[in-house]
Amino acid sequence: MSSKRGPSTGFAIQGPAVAGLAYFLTQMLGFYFPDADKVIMGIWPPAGVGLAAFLLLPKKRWPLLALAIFIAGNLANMTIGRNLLLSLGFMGVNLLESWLGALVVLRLAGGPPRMDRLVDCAAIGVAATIVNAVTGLAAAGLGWILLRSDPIASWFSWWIGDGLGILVIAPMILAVAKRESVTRWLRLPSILEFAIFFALWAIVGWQTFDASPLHGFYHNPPYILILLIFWPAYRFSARTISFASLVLAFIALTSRAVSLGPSPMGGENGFARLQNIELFLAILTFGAYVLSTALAELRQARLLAEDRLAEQKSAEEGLRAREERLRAIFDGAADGIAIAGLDEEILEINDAGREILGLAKDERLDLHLADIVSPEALGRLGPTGAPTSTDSLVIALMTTRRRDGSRIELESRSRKMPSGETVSVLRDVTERHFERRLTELRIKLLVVDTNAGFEELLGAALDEAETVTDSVMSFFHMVGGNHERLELTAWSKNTLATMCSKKVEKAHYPIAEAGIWADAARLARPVIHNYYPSEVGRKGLPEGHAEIKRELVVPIIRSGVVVAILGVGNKGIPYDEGDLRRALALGEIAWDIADRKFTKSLLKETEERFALVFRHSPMPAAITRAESGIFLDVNNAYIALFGYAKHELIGRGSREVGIWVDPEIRKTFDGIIEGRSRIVSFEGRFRKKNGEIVEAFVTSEGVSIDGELHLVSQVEDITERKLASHKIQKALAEKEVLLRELYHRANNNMQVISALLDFQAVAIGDERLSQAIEATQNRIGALALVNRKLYEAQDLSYINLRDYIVDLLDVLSQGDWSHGRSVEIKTDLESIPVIVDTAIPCGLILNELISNVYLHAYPDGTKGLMEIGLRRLPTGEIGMKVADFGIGLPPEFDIERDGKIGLQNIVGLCSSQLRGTVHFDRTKGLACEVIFADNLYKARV
Amino acid sequence: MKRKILIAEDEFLPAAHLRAVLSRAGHEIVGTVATARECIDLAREKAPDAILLDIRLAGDLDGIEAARRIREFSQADIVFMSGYQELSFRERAMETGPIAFLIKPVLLKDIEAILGGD
Repeated sequence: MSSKRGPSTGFAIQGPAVAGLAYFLTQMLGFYFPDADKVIMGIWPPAGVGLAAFLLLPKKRWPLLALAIFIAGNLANMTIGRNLLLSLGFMGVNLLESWLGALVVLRLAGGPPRMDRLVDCAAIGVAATIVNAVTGLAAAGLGWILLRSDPIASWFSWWIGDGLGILVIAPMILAVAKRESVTRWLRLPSILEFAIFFALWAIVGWQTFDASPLHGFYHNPPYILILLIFWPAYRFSARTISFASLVLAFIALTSRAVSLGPSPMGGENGFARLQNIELFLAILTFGAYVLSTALAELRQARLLAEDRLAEQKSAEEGLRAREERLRAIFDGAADGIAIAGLDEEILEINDAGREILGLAKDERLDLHLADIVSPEALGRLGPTGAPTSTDSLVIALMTTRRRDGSRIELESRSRKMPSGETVSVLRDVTERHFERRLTELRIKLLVVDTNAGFEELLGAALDEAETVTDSVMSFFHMVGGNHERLELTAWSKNTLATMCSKKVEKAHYPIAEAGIWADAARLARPVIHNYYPSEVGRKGLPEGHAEIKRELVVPIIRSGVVVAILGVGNKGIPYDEGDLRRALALGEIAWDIADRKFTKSLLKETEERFALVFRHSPMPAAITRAESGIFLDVNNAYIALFGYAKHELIGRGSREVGIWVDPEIRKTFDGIIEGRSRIVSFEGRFRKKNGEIVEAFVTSEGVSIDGELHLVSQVEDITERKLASHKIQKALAEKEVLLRELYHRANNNMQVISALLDFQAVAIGDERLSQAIEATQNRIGALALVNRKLYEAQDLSYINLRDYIVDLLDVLSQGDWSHGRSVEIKTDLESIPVIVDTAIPCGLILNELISNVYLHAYPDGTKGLMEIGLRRLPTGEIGMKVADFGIGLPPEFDIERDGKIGLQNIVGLCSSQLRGTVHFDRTKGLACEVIFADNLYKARV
Repeated sequence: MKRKILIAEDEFLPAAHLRAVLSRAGHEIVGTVATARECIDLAREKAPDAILLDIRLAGDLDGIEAARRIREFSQADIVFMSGYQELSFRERAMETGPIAFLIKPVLLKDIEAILGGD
C-alpha cells in the first residue's frame, strides 16, 4: 500500500511546497513596494501566486496548500520584522482572498481556467476586483486596528496591489501551466516574430516609462502600448501576453518614473505614481487577455462553423451517393424489387421485376400488391395503408402468371416501411421449386417398394409433368417389342379423368401406326407440336382420345436407344424451352420409376422361381446359419427324408434337433466359416425323427444372406447305395476266397501228382528214370509255386517276378538232382509284376536254365557260379537272363538240332507262349537271355 | 536223427507220400491216422516225438482240438499243416505251442528242415 501511496504523497507535498516557496519569494519581492504607511505593499505578486496555486491544485490539497502559504507568508513577514499579530492577520486575509477567489473562479469558469476563454478572463477579473476588494476591507480594518493606519488608503493600496498581482501573475502561471504544445512556435518565422515583438515591446516600454538607459527623459504616449498589445493578443496566446506584462511591469516598476516622476500616468508622489502605473498595467494586461481570449473564441467559433459546414456538405454528398447506390442496386438487382404505395398499388418496379413478371420495360404498371404477394402474406404484412411499426420480413410463395400467361413460382420477401409503403423483393423460383419436386420424387423412389407404390409414384411424376409444363394432359409409354410398339402406358390423373376413355388406357400401339405424337420415339429426339391440328401427316389418335391442340413429347434414351417417351399436351400457350427441359427431367424420373418397377417384378418372379425350385427339388436341401446351425429353411424332400415337420426344424439348431449322429462332424464346416473354402462335401450319418440312421452325402455351400454367412446344404441319401456296396464288397470277398481256394486246390493237386510220380520212381528203381521223374517233379514244383504265389498275393492277378524267382531258386537249390554240386548264385533282379500267363512260362524256362547249370555247367565237381538277372529293357520289354561260367556247349553243338527236351522247352515256351526271343551267348560258359514283352496277355481279373 | 513220427492227414495220397518220404529219410512212422480221436489215442499209445497234424481232419474234432488234448499228456513236437481256408485258425492253433505251421501243399524240404533226417 505504501508503495502505491508514495508518489501521490510526494506530489501532494511537492505542489504545496513549491507554491509555498514561490509565495515566499514573490512576497519578499512585494516588500520592495510598501505604501506610505509601510503597512500595505503597493505591488503584491503573491496574491497571483496564491490564487493560481489554489486553482491548479485539487481541492483536497487546499488545506495543505493553505498551511504552506500561511507559513511562507509569516516567515517572509518575519524577515522584515513585522508585527506578529499583524503578520498572522494579513496572512489570514491573504489566504481567505486566494481561497475565496479560487472558489469564485472555479464557479464562474466551470473549472480551472486555462486563459483561452473569455469566461476565464472574467472569472479572474472578478477575483481580482470584487473578491480582492472584499478581503481588502478586512486587511484595511486590521491595519487600522493594529497600527492605526489610514483604512481607505490601506484598502486602496491592498486592492490595487493584490489586484495587479492577481491580474498579471495568476494568468501568467495558469497560462504557463496549460500544457500547450510549443512546437508550432519553434519555427523560424514564429521565433523571429516573437523576438521582434519583444524587442519592440521593451523599447516602447522603456520609452514610455523612462527606463531606457539610452534616452533622456522622454515619454511615449502610453496608449501606444495598448495598440502594441493587440499584436500578441491577435498573433500569440495568453501565455505571451503574460510574459509581455511581466516584462512591462519589470520595466515600469524599475523605472525612474516610479520614484522620480513625472509619470505618464500622473501621480503626486512615488506611491501614487506606482499605483497609477499598476492600474494602467492591470488594465492593459487584463484588456489584452480579454482581447486574446475573445479572438481565440472567435477563431474557434469560425473553425467550428467551418467544420459544421464541411460536415453538412459531406453528409449531403453521402446521402446523394447512397441514393445513387440504392438506385443502382434497385436497377441492377438480379431480384425483382417492387415498391407499393399506401393503396397497395405498385408504384415502381425494377427491370428484373419486370422481366420476372413478363412486363415490357416501358409498359405501364397496372399491378397491385396482391398480384405478387399471396393473400396470406398480405394479411401478415398488416392493414392496408396504415403506417406500421413492424419491420418484420414476410416471405411468401405463390403461383402466378406472367403477362404472357405462362406460369411461374414467385417468391416474395416483403417489408412494410414506416411510411406505410411496402417493398417486395421478387424472385422467380420456378426452377428451384421444380428441382425440389424432382428431389422429392427421387427420394420417394428410393423408399417405394410395392407395385402399387410404383404406379402411384409414376402417376405423381406425370401429374408433376403436367403441372410444371402448364399442360392438361400427360402420358408415358415404354418402348418394347424390339422397338416396334409402345406399351406399359401410364397417364396423369387429369388425363385419365378428362382426356381418354378407359379403352385406351392399357392399349399397346405399334409405333409404325402411331401418329406424329410418336415421332419422339421414331426420331429419338424431343418433338414439340405447338399447332397440332395444322401439322401435316399427324395421322389419327387412338380411339377415345381427346383432341390435341399442342403437345410436347420427349424420348428417354438409354445406350443410344429410345426406351420410353413422355408427353404433355394442350398447354394454353406454346411450349417453350423451359417446358422441354422440365419434361426431359421428369421423363428421366418416370423411366427410373418404371424401370425399378419392372426390375422389381422381374426380381420377384426370379425369386419365386428359385423358391419353387428349392421347395420342390427332389434332393433334400436346407439353409442354416453357418455359426449356430439354426435352420432357416428346409425343402419338402428334406422333410420327407428326416420325418420332421417344418416347424420342428425352422428356428432350431441342427444339434438341438439331434440330426447329427456324430456332432463332431459339424467341424467339417469350419473351412467355410473360417473362409478357407466355399464348398465342402462329406459323408455323414444322420438320425431321422424315428431314430433310424441315414447315411448321406452332404454338399454345403457358404452363401451370404443379409450379410450373414449361411450354409445351403444338399443331402443325398446314400443308405441304399451303401448297403448295396457292402453286399458287393462281401460278394467280392467271398469270390476272392473262392479263387484263392481254387489256386490252393490246384496246387494241392500238383502236390499229389508230384507224390504219385515219386511213388512211381521209387517203385521202378531205375536211376535214369528217377532223374527224369525228378525233373518233371521240379517242373511241377515251378508251376505249383506260381499258384502258391498267387494265393499268397494281395492281388490275385499279378505276381512279382522278382519274388517268384527268389522262391524258385530256394526250391531248386535244395533238390536232390543237384547232387551236392555247389553253385554260387548271384542275382540282380528288378521288381517287375507280371500276370499269371507270363509268370508260368517264365517259371518253367527258369527251371530248365537253372537245372542245366546244375547238371551240366560244372561236371567235374568244381565250385560254380551262376548269375541270374531280371530287368526292364529300355524298349519296355523284360529281359530274364541266366549265365554260368562253366564248360559251356561243345563247339559243334547246335541248340536247335542237338538240344534236349530242356533246351527245346526253353525255345518253345519263349516263342509260343511269351512271343519272345532267346539269345545264347557261348563266349564264356553259357549265357541265355529271354526277352519278351509282358503286354501279350491282359489281366484276367 | 531218427524220430518217431505220427501223421494225421485225412487225404490218402498226401498222407502216403509223407509217410514214404519220411520213411526214406529214416524216420519211424508210428502211425497214419485220418481222425482227431485216432490221433489222440495213438499219440497216447505210441508217444511219438513229433506229430504232423492236418487242421482239417475227418470226424467231429479238428486238428487244433486234437493238439490241445494231446498237450495234456504229451510234449511231442507238433507241426500243423493247413489248407488255405484254415489260415484263419492260425492264431488259435498257435496257442497249443506247435513248432511249425505249414501251408499245404507242404514242401518236403520244409518237413525235412523241421524234422531233420539221415
